[in-house]
Amino acid sequence: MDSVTRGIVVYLFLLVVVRFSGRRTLAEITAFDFVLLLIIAETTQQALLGDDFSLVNAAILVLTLFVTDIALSYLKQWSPRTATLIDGTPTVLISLGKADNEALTRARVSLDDVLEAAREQHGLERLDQIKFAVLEIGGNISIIPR
Amino acid sequence: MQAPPIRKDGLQLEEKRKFHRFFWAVERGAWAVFALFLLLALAGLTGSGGYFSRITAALPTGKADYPRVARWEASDEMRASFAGGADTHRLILDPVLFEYFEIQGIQPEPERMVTGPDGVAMEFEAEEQAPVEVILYLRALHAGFPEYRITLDGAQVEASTLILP
Repeated sequence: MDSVTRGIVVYLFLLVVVRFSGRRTLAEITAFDFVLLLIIAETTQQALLGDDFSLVNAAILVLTLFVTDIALSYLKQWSPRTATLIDGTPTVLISLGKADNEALTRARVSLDDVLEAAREQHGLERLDQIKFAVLEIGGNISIIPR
Repeated sequence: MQAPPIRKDGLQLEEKRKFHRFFWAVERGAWAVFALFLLLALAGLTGSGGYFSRITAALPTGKADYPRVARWEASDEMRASFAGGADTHRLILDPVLFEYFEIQGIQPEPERMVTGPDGVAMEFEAEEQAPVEVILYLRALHAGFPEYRITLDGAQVEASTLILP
């Protein structure tokens, strides 16, 4: 029972923390973010396993995490409100070439980030070549050129 | 499954800006809560060190120092400091303590351990009636809020520890 409870609690805790940290926190993986992810994984592993390093415990935990994830995906499909709450919706950062300053500030995205995405995705050189920039649910910025 | 609506600017996407504004505000509130948790942790209210993590109770026969907040499966310690003036000192621990904590070690080892109606009594000898400090290394077995008695040479203190999961 303990393993299942631990698995669900850790899953939900990470879900809440990652969701409230903002989409940008772990979306752009810099070298340091990668190290941070490893540290989080290591810390979580200890909370999940405790002192029990048995094969059964590991198997139950893996199953708990997968089943919770599948259950949540069904819940999101069944209730769009839950899906919005858990995943959010895309945020339009630039619409018809006009930057939305409120969205940029609140979502903690700079114009440099938008330009970087524009260069990477379409080889664009300037801001005025961008028609739409959208911060997607996954935290990446998608660009639609003019 | 319904396709997202087409916006005025031509983009087929459901943005829900009203929800975004609400969530951005909640997000900032959550960051404040995260910071508050860190402050509580630094103060010791989540156990494992910090100003408020321990209580020292002064008794006529000595001092008992025990955790106010402990963590499940984490190591902690309890200290019993006996004032000088006797050749033998007696520490009695409530049985409730043993339901919640495993005693991993006692420093120094007691000369004698007896189980009685009040709990487990431990006797420590002191040369030349010197003060004695006893350290018990504990490990919390369950989360909960045990209330227990610590008795030092007949003087009692009602103690309690919050064990966080």
